[in-house]
Amino acid sequence: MSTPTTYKKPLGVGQVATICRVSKKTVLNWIYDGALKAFTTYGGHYRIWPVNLKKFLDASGMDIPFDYVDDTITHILIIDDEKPFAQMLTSVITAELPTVDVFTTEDPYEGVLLIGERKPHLVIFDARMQHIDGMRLLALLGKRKATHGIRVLVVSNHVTAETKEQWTKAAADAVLDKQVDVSVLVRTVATLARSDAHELQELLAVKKNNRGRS
Amino acid sequence: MTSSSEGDLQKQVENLKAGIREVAHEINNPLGVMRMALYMMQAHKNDQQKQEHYWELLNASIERIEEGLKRLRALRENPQAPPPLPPQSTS
Repeated sequence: MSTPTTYKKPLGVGQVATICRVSKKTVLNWIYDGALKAFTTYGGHYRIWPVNLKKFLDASGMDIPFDYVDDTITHILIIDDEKPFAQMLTSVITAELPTVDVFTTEDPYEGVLLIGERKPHLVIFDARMQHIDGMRLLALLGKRKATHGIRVLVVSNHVTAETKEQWTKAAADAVLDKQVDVSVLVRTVATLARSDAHELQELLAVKKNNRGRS
Repeated sequence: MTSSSEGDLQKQVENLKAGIREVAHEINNPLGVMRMALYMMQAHKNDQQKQEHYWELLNASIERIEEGLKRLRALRENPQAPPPLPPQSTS
């Protein structure tokens, strides 16, 4: 038995037609009708995110096996040895940003492993935890930022002008006090959590709207 | 004042500073949790189950703050004693 292909990147109309065993024209009709959500590239070609094709297949009741990795979902890792704080932060982020996947650990060493294994888009951590050198962890994240575009948010009880500068220089994209207003925290997470995929979608949507106006 | 009593005083001051720093940290963590729990209670006004869950978190956080204040009082009564270990985090 052959292993089904797992789709990760946006699909072209031809690919969707092949997957669904229909003609390209049929796929275009689904798009024109608004049944299948698609976006257009700068060159004017339609592209379909695997998650949207899956939604379409489920809604239409078409019995077509389709496996995909959702690149539009943003993965956030929270590392904090304060379990209640990490749990509460997870609840808030999950409630306010439903398209993100949040996973947490209290163990900074497990956190380092998770960064490698699960490749989160955003890492939220307290730079002053027991049993780990926060500056060293920031330095490691700094290296990963260069190659993987990872974002780093430090949330700590030890924020001073000095530590903020230190952490920002090391790798932090933002530094927040644990006592910060929750709406500010959510806004900061939302801004940092935008994956490249989201940015691409938004950029394309803006370009499409601009073309529509001209 | 003898050098020995000066040394004792210095030690007491250092202990107090360390204790206050630790307690402040201990109190700040549950305060952050409480802030978020209140935010979530406001967001889920009509969900009884969630209200109860966040209510429990609020209570646990208040208990942790009380523990911190107890430690602060103990430190005031005996500044030479090293600050006791913080209570374990509860889930």
